[in-house]
Amino acid sequence: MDGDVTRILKSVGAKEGLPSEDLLPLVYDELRSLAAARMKGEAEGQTLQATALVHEAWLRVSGHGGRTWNDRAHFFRIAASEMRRILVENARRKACLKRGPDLQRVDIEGLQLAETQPDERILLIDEMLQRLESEDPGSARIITLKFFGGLTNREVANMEGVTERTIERQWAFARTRLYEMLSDET
Amino acid sequence: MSETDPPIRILFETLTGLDRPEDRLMFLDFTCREDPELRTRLERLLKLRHEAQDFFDIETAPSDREAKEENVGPPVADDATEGVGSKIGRYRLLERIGEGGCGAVYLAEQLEPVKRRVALKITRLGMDTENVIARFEMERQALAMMDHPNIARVFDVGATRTGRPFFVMQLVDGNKITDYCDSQQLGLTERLKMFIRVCQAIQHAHQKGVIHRDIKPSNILVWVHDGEAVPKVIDFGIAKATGASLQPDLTVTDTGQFLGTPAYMSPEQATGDGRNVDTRSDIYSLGALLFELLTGVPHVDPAALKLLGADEIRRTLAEMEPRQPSAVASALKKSARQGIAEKRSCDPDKLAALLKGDLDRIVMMAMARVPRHRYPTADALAADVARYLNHEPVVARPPSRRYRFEKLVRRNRSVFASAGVVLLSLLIGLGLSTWMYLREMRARNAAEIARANEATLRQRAEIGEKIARAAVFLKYRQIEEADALVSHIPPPLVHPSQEGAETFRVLGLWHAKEGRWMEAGNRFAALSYSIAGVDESDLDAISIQLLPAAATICEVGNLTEYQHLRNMAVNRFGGTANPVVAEQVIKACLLLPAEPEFLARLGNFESMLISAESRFPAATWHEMHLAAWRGFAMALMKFRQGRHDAALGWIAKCLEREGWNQARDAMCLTLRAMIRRQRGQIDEAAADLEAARALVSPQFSPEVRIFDQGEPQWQDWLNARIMLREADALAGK
Repeated sequence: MDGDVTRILKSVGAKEGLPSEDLLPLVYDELRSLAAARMKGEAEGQTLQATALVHEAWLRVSGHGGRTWNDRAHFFRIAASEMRRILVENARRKACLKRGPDLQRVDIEGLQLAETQPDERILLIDEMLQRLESEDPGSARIITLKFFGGLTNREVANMEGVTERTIERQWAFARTRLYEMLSDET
Repeated sequence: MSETDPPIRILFETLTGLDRPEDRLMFLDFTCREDPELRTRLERLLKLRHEAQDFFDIETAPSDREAKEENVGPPVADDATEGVGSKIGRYRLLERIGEGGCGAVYLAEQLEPVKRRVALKITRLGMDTENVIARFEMERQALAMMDHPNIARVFDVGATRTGRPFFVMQLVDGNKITDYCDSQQLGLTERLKMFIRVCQAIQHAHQKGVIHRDIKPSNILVWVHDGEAVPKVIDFGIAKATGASLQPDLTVTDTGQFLGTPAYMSPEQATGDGRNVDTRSDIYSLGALLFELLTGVPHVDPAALKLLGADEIRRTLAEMEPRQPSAVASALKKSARQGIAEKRSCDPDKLAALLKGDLDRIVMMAMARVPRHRYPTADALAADVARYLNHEPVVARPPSRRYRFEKLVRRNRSVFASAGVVLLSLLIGLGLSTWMYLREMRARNAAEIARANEATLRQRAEIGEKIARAAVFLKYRQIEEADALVSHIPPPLVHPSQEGAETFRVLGLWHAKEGRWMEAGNRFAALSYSIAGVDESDLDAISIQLLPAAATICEVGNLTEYQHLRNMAVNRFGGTANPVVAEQVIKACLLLPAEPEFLARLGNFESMLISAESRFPAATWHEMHLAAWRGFAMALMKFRQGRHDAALGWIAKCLEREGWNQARDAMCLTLRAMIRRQRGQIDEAAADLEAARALVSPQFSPEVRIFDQGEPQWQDWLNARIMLREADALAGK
């Protein structure tokens, strides 16, 4: 199952990869369970449904016509970063509804991190992630795949070609580092 | 220190890879021997990593996909991940405070939205988590409505990482009721008074349509609060959610541990498939509890049951005639009797005598094998115990003259204080005893009335239970089963509930689509009772439910139900400030002609429409759509009032949007045809009628197409056909 997409990608002709339209049926279920994993446990009243998240992510990933993919790791990396964008936009929109359009950002100063709501956390994590991307791109990538993409350690390990244990350690460091940055802000 | 210092990552990963704290210390000592700053940073990171984990953990359960991948071997109890200190969703486990057949109970701290201490019960592995949660969700609304000082609330339900369902409850710090009574050496009177409070709590739940299903001493805790002992019933809704009564779990686990508590289970719970369980099953369990409170021993010996297989236990429970408490007390060995009597602050030799008679009868009646021989309600049981405490005749005992006279004497001790007075009263003769006899009769009549009330309450609770079960069936798309459960419920007995409304709506629509209008009408009539008082919100999402009800009820010509629907609609939505609600009420209520008195009651709705007309300019498509329906409702209102000129004005306005909704066009044409016919414009009337018919007929023949267009439109077509019939009748066709 894991090799399916990659195999097909390879079989259809080496270098060009596969056009988005042909890829969708192959990855749809996987993408959907990815989104479901991501949406599970979201606060009650969550407006963005797993299916909607998939569709939106898909539209964006395949949005630039004629895009092709080298392998499934490439695809899921892009999908995860699109999911990040969607979740952040969604959280921001809900924050707007709650606090009015002027407050686009969560005020970090004096914030009790442990008491923040899921939506606020998404926004805070996203903001810190932007900084982390320049200083430690590896950790930033892990957070995107794990937190926003909802991928399991095993899946990330397969993508990166390392062991699950390695991913677990990297993930532990990455989130601790990001949390440290957040704590320094508050 | 540079922010991009890569060694920090490697150091951190190495450090967290070390399991033993002393190894970590050694590593830190060595690595940071010349760099105290690095040490501070690493120690901080080490400390922050748990908070960080919590912070990123927005999810409470892993995806199914992950669970599937990882569940390759046989399922193993994974307590390590759910031990003290770990976090489940928004709860942190603080301390393990109990262990039962069905799982472990923890003291936990809720972290958001409010910080508070709760009890968190994690059920054992192997339960069908999804169904457990679904069943609990079905009952969540009813549970939320329970508000009683003797009931511990259940706040939440969820799944742990390993997929086990957990329940979050109000924290009750106390001992189980039997232990508490023994430790305090409470006498029988105090025990009975506490038992009455337990009955009242159960009664409260039954009135909200919730059956406990697992009443037993360990589910009733006594909490000492401000020096007062308060019994608290815990675990409401859990037995139902975990299906304990659907499939009485009498199986033995690998460790030989018994699950479930057969000793307190009613015969119908032990043997049946759960379908016959109703409020009276709880009465049985209350009786078993009372038995134990009085005698100090359970009515069946759990040790004896342990030796039997599941089927034998079922048979034993179903066939065994409970022993009388007094018989059990007198059969006790002297030493045991001594101990039990001591804990009740009473004379060991008198215990059996105290129990004999009324208390025996009360326990026996509560624990009758046939449910209808039991007390009809928990209140009735409590009332009988109270009668015993007041020395009044108990219902549980068939009245004999001698028995009644005994009671009479005990209650009026002052009167019968001496033999002399007895003699005197005999001399005074009939006077006094007639007076007392009449007083007795009045009390009996009051008891009869109370019993009748109780029967109604029970019936209502049973209906609520059926509807709740039907809702579960619907959730799993078992529509026939759901319908069979509720098909015999007379609509007027349906108690308002959101769950009921949704259930009847789905069933009504199902019948309608199958062309069974009579059944559809019945379900929608039940729906109209369900929404009568379900909430106070002034939403057209609720009033729109009136339309399918009105349409199907009129379609089958059930005028009684239609009249009820009209009255209910006017009462329920009378105070509306929402023009869409007003429009829907008028449309639903005037599908058939109405009496002038009823039309007068619609005045408020009419003025709401008129003021909306001036307030909302029809600028957008949506506003024009609303305005057109408003116009139609006004046309209908004016037509029913006999104000034909005004009606024609509204019809013309409405037909400006011709083609937007063909059913509405057809209804407008039909109304105009009726007005024109009454004015003698026979040809124009016939033309209107034919135009309307040309729109309506294709929707019903050769095949019914009204359900092709989405949910609300079919009712419009049905209404159009109903009005067409009225016009045909007027035309003498």
